[in-house]
Amino acid sequence: MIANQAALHQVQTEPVNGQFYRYIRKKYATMPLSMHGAFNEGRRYNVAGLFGALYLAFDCATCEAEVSQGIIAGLEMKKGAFVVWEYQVSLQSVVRLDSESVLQAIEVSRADITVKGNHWTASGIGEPLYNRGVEGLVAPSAQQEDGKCLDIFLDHVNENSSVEPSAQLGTWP
Amino acid sequence: MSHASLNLANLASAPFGEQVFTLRQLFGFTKVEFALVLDVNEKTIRRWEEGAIAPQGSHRLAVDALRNIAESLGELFEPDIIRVWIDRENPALQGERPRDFAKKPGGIFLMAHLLSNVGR
Repeated sequence: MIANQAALHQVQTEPVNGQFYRYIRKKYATMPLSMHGAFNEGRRYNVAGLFGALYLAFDCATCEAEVSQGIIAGLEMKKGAFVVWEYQVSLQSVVRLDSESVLQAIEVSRADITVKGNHWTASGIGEPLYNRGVEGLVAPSAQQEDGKCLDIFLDHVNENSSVEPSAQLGTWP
Repeated sequence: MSHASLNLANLASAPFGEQVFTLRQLFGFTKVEFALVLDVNEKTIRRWEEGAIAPQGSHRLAVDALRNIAESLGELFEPDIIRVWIDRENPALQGERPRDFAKKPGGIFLMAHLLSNVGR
């Protein structure tokens, strides 16, 4: 499914503020704003080698589900393998892909953008939104029922917005 | 050597022969299998493990990638779970077991790439 490209250039943005979370592997824990993994590998809403994104979650349960996927899925993690970071975020222009009206406007369904192991439709949304200059998007988690993620295009965060790693809350698991 | 005794955290500082031996043990490869994975003959594997010679060029890169895999696994899993990971079909590797995927062209490098980006 390809999203309506014209609609992606017009779809409304809105502010997003609050606390968000990310689980970072211990060896990378001192780089909470790093997008290396996303840039290198290409995740759901960014394109490998073209642009990165900072993938945060609305809650820790979603972080656990998101970090336990892919090549390491389904196995018990080593105790303390990940560090839990908390962020204070204030953004002005975010596209809400968790909104049914937005999904209808761009002509995709929630199912289209949450296919496990297939980022094709989602990255086809992320790339035009990045090129449009929005600061990020909120999207339903593909790994956690009712979970939501905030994916931030850090290089588009404007001067009136902020993304601050505020605390290391501990380790997981 | 049991998996529990494999020291993956300090592998990079170990003598090269020990690294090659440890990596082969980690994946459960015989010398013949490991020779096929690295596109050399069995005698070369034996000489690497004895420390008589060290891998060069593309062979060195492949051993380095295997070591990166081992280090990532050591950071993410306990030794008994690493064994499970290596022998378990993995959807992210086209449904193949990592020890089989390692035998495919570029398989070692793709696994090293994917593991290095976990939680990064």
